[in-house]
Amino acid sequence: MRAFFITGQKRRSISSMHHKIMGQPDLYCVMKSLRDHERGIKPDSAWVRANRETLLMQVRNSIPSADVAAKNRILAQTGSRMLKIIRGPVLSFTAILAALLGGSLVSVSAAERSLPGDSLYALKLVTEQARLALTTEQSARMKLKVEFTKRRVEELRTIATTPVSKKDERAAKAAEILKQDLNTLKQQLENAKTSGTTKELADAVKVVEKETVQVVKTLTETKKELGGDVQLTVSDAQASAADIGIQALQALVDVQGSDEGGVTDEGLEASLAAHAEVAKNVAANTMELAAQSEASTASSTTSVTSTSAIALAKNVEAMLFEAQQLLLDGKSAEAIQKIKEASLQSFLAQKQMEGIQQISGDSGMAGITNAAAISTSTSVTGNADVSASSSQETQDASSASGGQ
Amino acid sequence: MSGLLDRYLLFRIREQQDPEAFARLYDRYVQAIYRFVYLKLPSKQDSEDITSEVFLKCWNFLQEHRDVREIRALLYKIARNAIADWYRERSGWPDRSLAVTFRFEDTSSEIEAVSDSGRGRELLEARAELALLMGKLERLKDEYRDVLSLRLIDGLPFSVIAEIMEKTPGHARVLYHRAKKALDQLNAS
Repeated sequence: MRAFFITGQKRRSISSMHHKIMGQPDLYCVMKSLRDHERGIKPDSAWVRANRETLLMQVRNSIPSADVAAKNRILAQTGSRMLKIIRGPVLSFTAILAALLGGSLVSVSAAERSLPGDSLYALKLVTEQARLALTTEQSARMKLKVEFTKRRVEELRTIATTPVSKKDERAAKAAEILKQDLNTLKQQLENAKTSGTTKELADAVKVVEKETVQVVKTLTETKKELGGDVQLTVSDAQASAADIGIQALQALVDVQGSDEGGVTDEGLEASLAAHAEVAKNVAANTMELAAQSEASTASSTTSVTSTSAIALAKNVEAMLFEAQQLLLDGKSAEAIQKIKEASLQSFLAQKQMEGIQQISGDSGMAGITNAAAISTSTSVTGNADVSASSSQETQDASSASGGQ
Repeated sequence: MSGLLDRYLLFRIREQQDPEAFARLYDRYVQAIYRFVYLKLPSKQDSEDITSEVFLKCWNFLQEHRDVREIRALLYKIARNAIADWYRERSGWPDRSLAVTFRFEDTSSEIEAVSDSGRGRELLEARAELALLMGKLERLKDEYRDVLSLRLIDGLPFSVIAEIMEKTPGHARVLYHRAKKALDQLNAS
């Protein structure tokens, strides 16, 4: 409240509050502090004087216009690119960015090793962006994006499995960035479909297909070490990755038979098997969660959701079987479509079950909201129905609302 | 008023190769240019070297080109190019990693240059955050990106930005505010 009475600082503190609430860094505050700091910078006066003398000497030496050779030398140094600074466009942002931050400004390990939540992490991301911006070829960009997405998975894994400060915050941030990167990859894939097929592009799409399956697997392991809320985000990421992989496979099948790559029959079978396995494992995981939760919850809401999830998961097996039949019949496009549906369903089932897990876990009210949103059933029953293990949270929640 | 003096100096440097005029130009702008490059390069030495290079290049450029109108804009453009070149020569990536290290130790017993780089690190990170935000905005108009970059990353005053973009300062400010709005809109989505 003091802020309102301090004139110069008022706007700054309000806007930084605003941005902290929004979760964005306060751009203008940062810029202002940058400029304030810069104002205080002064060059060494001794250097300034010495430099002045040196420059004057150099300049006097270059004057005689008869000395054509010297002039040409100078011209060669400055180069024709210099002309552009007057006539050409201002250096584009990307070029400055790439030049300023390309490569590693700090020793390679420091920025490259940083994790979401570290101060150097922004630098890492910016360097990645710069590398992408300077890569023009579509297939190269796709491979680069895959590499960066793998980094995100690795970062999440590191956060989940090693002792770090603020684990939950970092995990949440990491999961979000992972989702964003996957979205970008999906966008790239969609763009690739509309552009012409080349061997390089087909190779890149193959890489996408292979690596996304691996991503899903790694995330399954990593998920186990993480808390409730983050798990849901990671599951979303998994679903996204699986979907991208299958889309990639579809794209490859579309070019099958052309000279530009595509996928062989054995390759197709192997890939489909890999995707089918993913769907199967996710469905199996759902069933496991269902078995665990049946033992602990008594809520009618959650049983309905649980039943629906179990039904979906069981159906996945049937769909996978159908897909296999389609493949044997030579209907590869339909087989892939069937697997895609199976995969989507398995992730949906898992999401429903994980939402329920949150209820019997530590998240209390949040878990109920999640499950209610995800499941098809309507009313949310009262606190009395929540299982005994979270009754403490319920107590706290009601005393908190009472105490306001 | 400063425009008039600059034009006079420009004239004397270009038409009469007057070293005294050049010396006056140096006196006028050495601090500003040094300040401009200082936080974009890893060390004081580099900043000094580049600053020196900027003035020499400016002299040479003026001898070869007749169509320069704003000498201050020229100095800043040369400075930006020089910084970009400096990094480009050293990156050679993706194969070689940059041999540049900013010294991040913040021990109080060290001389001023090192503790400056403690702050320097904060500012570098801040710039990275900025750049990250702006990196999302490839969809922004070229002009918007330029003005945001010149203002937020290069930290230039509007008078210089106007010269570089060949607009009036008023126009530059308007452009900046529009660009900020567009930036905020894109951030919110």
